[in-house]
Amino acid sequence: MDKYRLLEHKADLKIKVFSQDLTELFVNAALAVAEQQNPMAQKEAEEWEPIEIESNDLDSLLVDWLNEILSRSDLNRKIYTNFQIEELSKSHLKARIAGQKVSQKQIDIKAATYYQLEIEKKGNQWQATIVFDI
Amino acid sequence: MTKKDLVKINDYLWEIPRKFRSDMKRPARAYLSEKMLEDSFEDKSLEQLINIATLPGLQKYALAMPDMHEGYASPIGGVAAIRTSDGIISPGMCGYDINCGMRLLKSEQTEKEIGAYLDRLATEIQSQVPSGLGRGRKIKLTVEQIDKILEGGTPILLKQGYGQKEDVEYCEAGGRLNWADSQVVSERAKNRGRDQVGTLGSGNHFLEVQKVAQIFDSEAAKAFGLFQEQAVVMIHTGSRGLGHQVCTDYLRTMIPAMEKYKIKVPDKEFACVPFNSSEGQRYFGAMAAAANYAWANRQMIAYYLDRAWQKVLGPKEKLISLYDVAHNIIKKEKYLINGEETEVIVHRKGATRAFPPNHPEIPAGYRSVGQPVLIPGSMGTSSYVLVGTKEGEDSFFSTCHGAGRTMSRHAARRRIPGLEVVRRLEEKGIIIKCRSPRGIAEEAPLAYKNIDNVIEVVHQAGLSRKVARLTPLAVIKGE
Repeated sequence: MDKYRLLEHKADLKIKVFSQDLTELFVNAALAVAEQQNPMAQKEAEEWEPIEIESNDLDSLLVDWLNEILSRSDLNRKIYTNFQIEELSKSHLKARIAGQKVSQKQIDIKAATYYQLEIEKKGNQWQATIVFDI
Repeated sequence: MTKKDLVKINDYLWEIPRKFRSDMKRPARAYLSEKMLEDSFEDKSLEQLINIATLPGLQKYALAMPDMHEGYASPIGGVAAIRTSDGIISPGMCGYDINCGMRLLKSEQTEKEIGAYLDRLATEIQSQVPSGLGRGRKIKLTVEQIDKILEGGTPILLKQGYGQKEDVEYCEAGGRLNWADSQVVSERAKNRGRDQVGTLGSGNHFLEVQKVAQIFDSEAAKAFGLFQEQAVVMIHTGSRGLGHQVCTDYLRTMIPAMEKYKIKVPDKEFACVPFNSSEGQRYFGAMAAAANYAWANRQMIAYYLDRAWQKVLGPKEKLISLYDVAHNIIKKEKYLINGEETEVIVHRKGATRAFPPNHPEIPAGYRSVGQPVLIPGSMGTSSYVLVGTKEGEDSFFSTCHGAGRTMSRHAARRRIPGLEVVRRLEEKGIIIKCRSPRGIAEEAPLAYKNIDNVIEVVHQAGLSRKVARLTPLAVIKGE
């Protein structure tokens, strides 16, 4: 099973993420971000950074999680490729993330948006559709 | 939705009546040729335009410019004038790249005079202006210095020796919105901005050495200081990570706040609050601060371009600002609506302000002809200098901002490799400097509408008038 797939969107980046459970859905969405920033990024973990997010609902939690990673990626000039989710509910997430410093990114993903955002559970599989502003 | 749902107002203007969807508060209007309208059904841009028509306080119409295409929340090319007394303010209608915009610098030289130095110029420009994605500028400003830029915009950099007086005079709002408030911008946003003043970014952002290939309006061209074959330099970038963070931060505030204000929107990305609420005022102050940062960013880039120009062509050769104008911004303006002077906040998302002749906000030297409007084409194609018109009042003095995409970045990459795009540009004699073949493929001309067609609609519809056509000599992109 693919972790994610690129969908068509005229101006921005639209992806569909697949997983077996909700934790993996959040990890795969973050991996998709890293691979779009630079598919050749090394996956070694340098320094683990804690993240804790409170949001209103699951949609916001996924958007906030991805935007926190994008924000740190820009701030710290890193691509984050390692994600350990320690706690996850519909409105709360506690995790550790790690990545590497990079001298080049292929694209500047500005943010994850709410536009056409969908998180759904189909049978045993979770899916999320996310549009990123680039 | 089909063509039958639209009313043809004239050859370049189409209306979706208010009755089309029950939540529309006003009709929606799109400035398009018939062919562009037919093409627009391929994406969700008209649906997104209808969503604008639902916003509380919207005046007259939800508007779309001829380069309209699907975005998130508003279509790119969307304009919403919202009454300040009882309307909302929406970060999604400004976008993540607050005050993304254009600056045009003019030289005193012709294409012929710089031709032999062009490759060196392009290389020097690329080394002087980093993209800021992997590496930022070597100098990292302090948060206190960022605060000064957020509230002081371009004039602060001028005081520090980065630029010339024309850079402030020939810039929208003098490069500074005076209601900017650095206190309502988060520490994270400020920190993201510390080493990005003077960086280009990626995507469709670029620097381009161009020549004036054609003049349509000699009076306006003369007023703007443009002449045939003149070498000019165009800058397209915005507020970088700082602006993105401001938008992200305020969407996070506004989504839960909408419940408190009993506001419902058809797409969460339109999240909004009353303009006069504390959240609305804080965002307006933060948006202005990010806009000032963007002007400072383009100012610093212009400073380094001038240095590159002088280094290659000699110390007497200078680049002078023709104008600088935003195409993602929210501004307070006044219009006569139903016979009454009404204050509105005009949200322009991928749309450029185009004030008419004699407007007080136009620099004195240009006032008799109107505000310059700077429209970039897609990579390797023409760009345009336009001028605002009186007839533009129907669109709240707004016009297009570029060519507008017709193909996704993903599809463009599948259709054409980056190196093939480079080869085709080189065949046309255009130099290209870019570190990423992927970036070039995504911005290939085949992924965009034909800029000449877009400009023709703008000109015929009276949104603004053609002054000069510019063609590329060297393109410098980030990643």
